[in-house]
Amino acid sequence: MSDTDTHVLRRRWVFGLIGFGVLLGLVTVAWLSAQVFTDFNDRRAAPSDNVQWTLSQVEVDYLSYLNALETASAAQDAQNGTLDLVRRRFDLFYSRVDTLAQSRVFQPLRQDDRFRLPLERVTRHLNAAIPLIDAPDAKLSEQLDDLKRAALEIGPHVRTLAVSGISYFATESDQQRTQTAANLLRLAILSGALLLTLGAVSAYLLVVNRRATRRGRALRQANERMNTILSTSLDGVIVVDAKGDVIEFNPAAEAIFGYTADQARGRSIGDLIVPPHLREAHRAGMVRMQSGGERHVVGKGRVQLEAMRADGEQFPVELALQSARAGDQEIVIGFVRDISQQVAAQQELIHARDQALAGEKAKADFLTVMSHEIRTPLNGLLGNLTLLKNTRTTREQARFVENMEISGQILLSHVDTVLDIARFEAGKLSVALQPSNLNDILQEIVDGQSGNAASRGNSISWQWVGEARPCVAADAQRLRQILLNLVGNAIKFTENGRISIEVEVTEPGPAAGVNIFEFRIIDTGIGIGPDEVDVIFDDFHTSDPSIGRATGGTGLGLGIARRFAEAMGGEIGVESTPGEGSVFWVRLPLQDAELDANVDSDQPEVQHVQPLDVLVVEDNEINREVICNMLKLDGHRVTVAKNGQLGVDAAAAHRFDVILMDISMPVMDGPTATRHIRSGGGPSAEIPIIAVSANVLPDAVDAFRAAGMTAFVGKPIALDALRKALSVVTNLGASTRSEEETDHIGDLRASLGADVFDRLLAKYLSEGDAVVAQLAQLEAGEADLDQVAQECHRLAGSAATFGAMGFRDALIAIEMAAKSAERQQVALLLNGLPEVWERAKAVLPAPGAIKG
Amino acid sequence: MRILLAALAMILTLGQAQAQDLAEPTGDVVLTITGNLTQSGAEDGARFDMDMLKALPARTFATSTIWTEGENTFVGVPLSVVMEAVGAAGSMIRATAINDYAVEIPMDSVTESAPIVAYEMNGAEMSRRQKGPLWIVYPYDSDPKYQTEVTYSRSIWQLDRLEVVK
Repeated sequence: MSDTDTHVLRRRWVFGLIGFGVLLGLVTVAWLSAQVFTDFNDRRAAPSDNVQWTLSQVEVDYLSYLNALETASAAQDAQNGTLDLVRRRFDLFYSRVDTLAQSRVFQPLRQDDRFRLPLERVTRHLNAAIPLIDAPDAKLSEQLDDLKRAALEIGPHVRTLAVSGISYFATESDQQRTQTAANLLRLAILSGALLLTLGAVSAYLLVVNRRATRRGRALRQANERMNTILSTSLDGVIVVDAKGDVIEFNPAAEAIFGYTADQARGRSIGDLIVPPHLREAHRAGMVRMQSGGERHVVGKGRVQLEAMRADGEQFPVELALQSARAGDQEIVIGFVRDISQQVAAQQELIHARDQALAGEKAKADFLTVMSHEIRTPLNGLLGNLTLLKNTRTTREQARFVENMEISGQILLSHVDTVLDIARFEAGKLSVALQPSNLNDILQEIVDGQSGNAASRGNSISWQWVGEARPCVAADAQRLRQILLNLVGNAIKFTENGRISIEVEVTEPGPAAGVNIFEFRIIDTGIGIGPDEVDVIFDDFHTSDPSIGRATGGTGLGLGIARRFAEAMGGEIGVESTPGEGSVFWVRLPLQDAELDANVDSDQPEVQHVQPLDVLVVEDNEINREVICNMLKLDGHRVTVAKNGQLGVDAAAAHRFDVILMDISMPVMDGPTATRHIRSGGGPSAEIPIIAVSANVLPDAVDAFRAAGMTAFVGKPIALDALRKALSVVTNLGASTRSEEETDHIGDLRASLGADVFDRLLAKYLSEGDAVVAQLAQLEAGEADLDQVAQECHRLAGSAATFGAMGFRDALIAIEMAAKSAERQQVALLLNGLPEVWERAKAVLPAPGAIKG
Repeated sequence: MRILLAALAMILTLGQAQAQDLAEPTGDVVLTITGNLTQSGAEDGARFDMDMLKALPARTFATSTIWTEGENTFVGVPLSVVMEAVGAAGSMIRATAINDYAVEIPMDSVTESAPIVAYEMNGAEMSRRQKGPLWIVYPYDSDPKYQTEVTYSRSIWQLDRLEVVK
């Protein structure tokens, strides 16, 4: 119960009590007044009092009777009239005494002996006289004297009767007077008390009334305020009673629902604004509320529902219901907002967003498809250029080819860049952590870019600042890309200057074993204006269009670097002073890692090329020719099929060692063909199938594997990649070979003794370096093939001694090609030789390193 | 209203008067009415014997009185009927008893039913010793207004004379 309820209850009690008291007082006063009034009435009526009259009349009647007797006896002879008079007077006397004996008025008096005894005496006399009185005249006449004597005898008694009665009533009258006086006093006191009470009640009522007036005024003001609020509220306000009938319906509700308040009032809210399909639920809710059950909407804040207007139109509303008590009945107040516009706007917005997203996706798809479409002809272009280089050309032509190849490579890198971005935007950029050596990565970058830097008169170097911690788990490829982009950018904007790369562990990272590595690419170039610092990492930003054009940038390099850095959980930034140079920094959290010696050996080596029976399934004629030529270069036997169906047929007819399968082809695409081959049970059902595609997105590659393809080679096809793929799928993995080599070296060392082994090893290494460097510098087109064959043959022997079988195989391949004067082949193989040599060296211990 | 009724009663009795004179008593006269009477043959006073009274419309009721014991049944002619019978035209009735006790009864206090001029109590005529032969009785028990000193004083017994005063 609330405070106001208690208050009201208490006040009711007070009023009840006061009212009862006043009523009691009034009744008492009325009763006393009546009493007093009666008393006075009695007093007033006293002179004519029947009682006193009767009493006094007893004596009169007695004397009249006696008188009649005397008259009669005196006129003894004069008969009639006198006797009748005696009889009449007797009767009257008798009647009077009878009244005294019978009347209840004399009841109290009869209790008194002073009255009772004479009365009995008189009555006795009268009864004794009756026979004489009623006797005939003669007899009455005779007895007159006796009657008279008897009548005289009772005279004193009659007197006593009258007197005693009168004195009794006089006493009673006195008592009555005293009583009246007492009553009057009581009346006065009570009236006074009543007056006081009434005065107090009046005062109280005055106070209460004043308070009520004040409260009434406040209430009226509150009501007016409430009405103003209701009528100006933008939300519809509807009040219903416990039955669900409308009590209030404000102007906003009128506007929303199209009913006037008068139409709405008294009608069921369910019929009024709840759409037919929600009425059942509404009714259930009302029943639940009435039975005090759980409330789903009332008091639950804003909910969205559907409502219905007067014209039957259904529309969305936002609704908040709250219940309240009005007196002893529960009411529900509903605040309704028409949100049809809002919902419509929201839907429009969602639609617009969907469209925008679709547009974005279309853009990403477009980029992917475009890069795919560009890569495919590039494949043909670059492949053919490779082939062209291996043909006999003039020096000038060779330079043209070289230029074309460089341009082609730049174009390819642009396409790759765009593809990177497309991949990133598609959310497919994953970071693959693997143990990496930062020293190697940085050295590679410096080595790879030194030519580029030199061409613009720049020197380039890298160094650790502080403690060197090269062994980390990182996505080496991404990191390399970031650094390459930054270094490339630095070279681009620096002329005759210096580019230095610093790497430093600046602070411990967020988790144990993780440190923040800061890579700084410092140049002495033209610098960047402060207004450009903020936008320099945006896509397609080129600081100076003329420079951009001159240096061939897409404006995406730094954008990609930023994306990659962020994808790796790091950040990127630049500080620059125009005219003095810039510092690009990348901060990455990198995990410490254990690095084993064979970190780089995950790339299978290609040194032993075993002739294979290869089926190439490719629809594009140029691509087909490129692949075929590359395969033939390595001595493989090649069969071609121009589409998937033909490929399936060929595979069913012959057992190949491996199949190279294009993806998109007419008649039947690559994955379908693969499935047919795998499930066909033909002679080639089990052999490795390598997917060849320009679509290098991870999704696509997964799809190829799902179709049953063993490996994947991206377009445009590079010879190295093709060799690698072939060696992997044909189980000519380098890992096995490397192990053998390592074991062999162990044996050799054991058998030769450490000193001799070291001396021979050092000789082998220096000889290998020299020969490989010399061969690398040869222009294949003009080289003395005999000398090449000789050098290769000699070094191959040493390689075999030190178990470098891959290197030896490569050298022998060159020797064979040189001997048969296949210059293209020699050039191709010589190209790959330095890499093979590096790999061979990597598995060898450094001279003296294993001493002790 | 009451005056109107009285006037009406007068007209009615006038009508009756033209038709029939008041009868002469044949037995002992028990009630003599004098005063302002308009009934023909009663201009100089009307006299009633018991039979004449009994011939008038009677009323019976039971009541206790302060002068008797227990409840008694009274039979009698309403005073109004008696007044009507003699064509009484006055504002006051002066009632006198055999012993010359007299009271005044205002005409407008007389109603159709009370008082009655009782001639029987408990099925028997009342003797003079029993406050007879005529007794003006009110139905005291039926209404507290009949339990007043005034009413008691008007309840005159051994009634033998009535006088209509203007």
